[in-house]
Amino acid sequence: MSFLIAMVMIAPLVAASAGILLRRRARTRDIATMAGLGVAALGSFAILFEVASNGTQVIRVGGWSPTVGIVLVADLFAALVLPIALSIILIVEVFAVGQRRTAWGANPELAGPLLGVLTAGVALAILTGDLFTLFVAFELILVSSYVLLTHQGKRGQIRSGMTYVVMNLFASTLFLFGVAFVYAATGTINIALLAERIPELDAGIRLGIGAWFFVVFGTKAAIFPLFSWLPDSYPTAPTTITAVFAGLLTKIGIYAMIRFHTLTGMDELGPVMLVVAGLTMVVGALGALAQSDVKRILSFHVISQIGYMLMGLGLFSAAGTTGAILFLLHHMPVKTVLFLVGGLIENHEGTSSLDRSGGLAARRPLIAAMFAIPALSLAGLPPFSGFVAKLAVISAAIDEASIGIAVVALAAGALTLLSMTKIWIGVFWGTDADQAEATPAAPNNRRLMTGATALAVAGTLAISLLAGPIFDLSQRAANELRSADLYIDEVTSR
Amino acid sequence: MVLVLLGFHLAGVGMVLALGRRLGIRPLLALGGTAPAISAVWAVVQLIAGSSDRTSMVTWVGGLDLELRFKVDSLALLMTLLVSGIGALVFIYAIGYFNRDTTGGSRFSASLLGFSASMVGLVWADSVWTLFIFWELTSVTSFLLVGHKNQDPSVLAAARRALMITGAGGLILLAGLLVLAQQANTTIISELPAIGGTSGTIAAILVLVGAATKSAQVPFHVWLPGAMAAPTPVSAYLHSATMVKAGVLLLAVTGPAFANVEAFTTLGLAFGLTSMLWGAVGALRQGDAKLILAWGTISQLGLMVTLLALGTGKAVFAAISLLFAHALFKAALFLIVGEVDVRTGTRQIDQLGGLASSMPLSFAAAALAGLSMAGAPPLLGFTAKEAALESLATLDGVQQIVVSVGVGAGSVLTVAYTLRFVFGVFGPGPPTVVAPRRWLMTIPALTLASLGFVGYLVLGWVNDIVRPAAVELNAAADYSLLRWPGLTAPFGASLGILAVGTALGFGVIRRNVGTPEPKGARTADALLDGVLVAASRATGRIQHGSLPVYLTVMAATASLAALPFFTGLDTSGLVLANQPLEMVLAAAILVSATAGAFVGSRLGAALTLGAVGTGVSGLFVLYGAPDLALTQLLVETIVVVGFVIGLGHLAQQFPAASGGWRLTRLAVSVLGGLSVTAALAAAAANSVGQAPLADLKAGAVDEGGGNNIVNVILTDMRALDTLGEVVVLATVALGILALANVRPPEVPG
Repeated sequence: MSFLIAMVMIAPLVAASAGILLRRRARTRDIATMAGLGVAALGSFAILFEVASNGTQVIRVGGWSPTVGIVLVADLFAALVLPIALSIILIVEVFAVGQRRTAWGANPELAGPLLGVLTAGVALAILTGDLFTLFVAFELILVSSYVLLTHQGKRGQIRSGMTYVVMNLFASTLFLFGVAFVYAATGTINIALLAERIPELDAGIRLGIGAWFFVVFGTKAAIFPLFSWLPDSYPTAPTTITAVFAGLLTKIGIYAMIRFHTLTGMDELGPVMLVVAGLTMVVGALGALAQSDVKRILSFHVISQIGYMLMGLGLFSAAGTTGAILFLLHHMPVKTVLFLVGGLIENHEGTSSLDRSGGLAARRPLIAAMFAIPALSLAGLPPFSGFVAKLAVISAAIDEASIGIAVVALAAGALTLLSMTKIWIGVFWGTDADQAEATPAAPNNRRLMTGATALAVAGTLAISLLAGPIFDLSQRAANELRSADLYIDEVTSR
Repeated sequence: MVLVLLGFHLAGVGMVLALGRRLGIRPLLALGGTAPAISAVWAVVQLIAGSSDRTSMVTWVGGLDLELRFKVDSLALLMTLLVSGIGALVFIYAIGYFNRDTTGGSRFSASLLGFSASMVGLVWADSVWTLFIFWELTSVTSFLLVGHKNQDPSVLAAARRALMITGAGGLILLAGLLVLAQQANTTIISELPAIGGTSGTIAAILVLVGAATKSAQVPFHVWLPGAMAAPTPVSAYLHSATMVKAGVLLLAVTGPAFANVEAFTTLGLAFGLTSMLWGAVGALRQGDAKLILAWGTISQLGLMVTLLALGTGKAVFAAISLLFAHALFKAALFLIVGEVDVRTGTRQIDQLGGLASSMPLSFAAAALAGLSMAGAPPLLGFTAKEAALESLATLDGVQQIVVSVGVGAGSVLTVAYTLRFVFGVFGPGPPTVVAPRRWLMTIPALTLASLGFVGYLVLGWVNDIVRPAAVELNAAADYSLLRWPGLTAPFGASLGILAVGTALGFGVIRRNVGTPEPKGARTADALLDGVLVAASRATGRIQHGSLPVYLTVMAATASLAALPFFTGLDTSGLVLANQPLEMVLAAAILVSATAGAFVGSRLGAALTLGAVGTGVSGLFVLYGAPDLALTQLLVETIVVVGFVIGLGHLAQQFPAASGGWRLTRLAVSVLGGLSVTAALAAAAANSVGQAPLADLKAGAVDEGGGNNIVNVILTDMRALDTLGEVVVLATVALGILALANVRPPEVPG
């Protein structure tokens, strides 16, 4: 078991190094990267299986005790998020390999290795049981994503990369401050020990810590009013990169928030979180409506959807946390798929602008279908996973008599549907304004891209179909987080 | 069995899509019609065999009570008969409607069959969530079908309008069902208890509004006339016979739960009566035969909603009877309009003439269906209208007056627009050129129209179908349709309605032949576009692209987040400084930092930042950490050198800022500084645990084998963090190399 946990972090790093060493041999390099990411993804499923049947697994790195060393904790929450996160990266890398051979700017050899570093960071962020290691994981993710964003050296990318990196570095600084506050107040940065000690703190200090980390993780998660870095930067990156960002980065922020705030019992922050959640949903949905470019619309949806997860967390009830986890699990693949389809649209139309495309459904029915399914899911329509996730958080809100947020969530759903309709009508219906197909890629590369997208769509359908068992697992994970004692025992005992 | 039938439908969708490239539209439609035909035959067999209820269930998400729960009772069988029977006929009709070489056959056929499947799922549903799932699926498939001819911008607008109104209605319904399920403590429709109280009222209103959007009740009706942009088979099937009945069905099955909720009756009557009258008036204003029918549908649905809102046994019975009769005659009339459209090229009643002789079979069908719609004997529509009037007799007080006047007036107008339709399309006039007959279009229309007459002849059988269905909903609905009611008051009313309606109808046959401005639709579109404009404005304000503003917002938010720390601040334990030298260093740091904020040149700012860092490293020295101080100094030096090199490519001065903006930033900075200070002081003063210094020392010396604790921490205890940071640095190096590799982008211009 400890081998598996180590492997999911080491394999991507090895793949990254191999990718750099083999940078001049495109095919070998791509295979090495995909293999490394594939091994990590497979390992993560094994971890899920192991944790679901045998309970939380803890590794003390280097054998050091939790008071001085680092622990890696694969509890059910981590074990659920990990395989989805790593599978997404793998699928996107396959898609990107297809795309890199056709339409890529400068430095195509760096994309694979950087994805490897990103993967290691994501795995570390999910598995770590230590607040400072979480900071390191965020740094890994930030730096690799920043370089991914800018490595083609296009003007717009470097410009928007500035907003991205400065805001996120500022958030990292705030994170460090937060670590200092926590260490001063409790003498530890181990999350299990924090879960034990933070509830013992004075209310003011406890709330201060909770609110501070709400801002820190909230910036990473792109909640209102801290999301500004996202819509400016995401659409400028190559679509595959954006697909990973959209599927993972903000989700790691909300993941950390769910873990930290639930384990440390920050229930009093609930009302604030719900207000912020409502604002995030509405502002994100309105932002999406204001755009006329597929990638920009989808980027704003990322923000809006974070609101739903925050809403589930902010309810601080068993049903609410379950809903938040389920929403997270549903959202990551669906969002990625939508961006991949956005990449296919761009590849076929030569643009992702709504005004300059049209009539794609008649010419490429498969792309239309692969867009429609995740789009309906994201808008929360049955019978897809988005409906289950939305129903879970909204019914949790009604159980807690939080009617206001339930109404906002439903209204934001209508706005989301409207913006999806906008894409559908703009891209798939109507007539093609300039009729010009983009420079056609070599057929087998397109096949790789289409195949990867189809696989991802199948994945989202599998999540819809298996929503029952996934809900049950989310519920178990939520209960483990909420009662905290189990987590504390697993980490500190032995 | 119901799952198998649904499986047939899905398999049909799959086959149609799979064979889409090989077959033309007609074979694809024939293939698509198979599943509805099987389903219709099955329903007939069940009705004849009179078999009892059967249920089936598949759990989807047990934790949320999400399940596919189906119950085939008398009502479900009646609805299946309509949905699948008319569905099969519409598929046959569509084969005649489309030309052999029409493209998009697989899209159309698959969507139509997908709709058919969603509709049977909806009528079988016995869980509120099952019902909701299929409800939304009908909205989506309807969107695809309305937008079938999507090269036309007006079609796109109509499809968007229809989806947004029914979609938003779906969300309102979702809220209503959530409240209903919570109050009733069950999601099983057939086990819903009667609920009351404020929650009951809220649930009733939400469900009613949801139903009203789907069943095109005023003011949500504006999507229905636009949806006539769909090919006629779609209009006949979705927008007259089935989908728009979903709202009526929803009210029928949830009616018992809302039996004690006054708002259900009041609001239901308001929707129903308004729609009945406004729809009928709308029908009289249209010059397009298809739009006359569409507005007539709004009116007829209004009558059904009215009856269900009343909720008495007789009213429920009448509503179900009307639903049955309406599906037959309205679908027939739509099919006839489609045939007229295809064979003459127009649907405008002032351009049609002589069709009674050139399309005699269609004329016969239109006459039969029209008489049924007007409520004239000897047709099924007459018996249903009689039942409706009969049910009004049991009311009392103001309600009776209001409802009777409304229904009476609505019925008069119905007779009038029926006459206008039949005589407008088939009446005299300069003969229109008519293309050859297409039998596949004529036969389904004739079949449905004559069923209204056959039904009247075998009224006993019809009663055997309708009565149990109504009794499922309301045990008191044990009535029968009467072939000849005798000389009762309702019969007298019927005769009066027919007489007045006929007089009115002949007066308006050739009036209002243009197509009036669709004001309601315009308003709805303007509303949607208004949302888009408002969204653009709001987003422009929030996402303006200025990084300094973003950062200020972030800093302000973080400072606010730190406010709770102030409550834990205990100034008594604080000392200004441990050593006097600290004060000097702190003052130096403060001065450099303040200078950095005010200095106008970029180079100056870089230097002052360097001074701040140097001051901090001085503090490190005072606290006995010379290695840290050394590192800090190195970093500061490199950073300043880097700045100096990089600044060569930038403007020398910062852009000028307005005074107010500078003040804001100053305030946020001061607040931020105070907050962090207070947070650290308060956290340290209220600590509940001490840093594990002894553990660290013991661990480093005894286990790690090193006397420099910091080194052991970095390379052993927290080696993973160090590894991470090493990778971070390597990645940064890669990024720099990558950018260095890129040739400078051409300056656009």
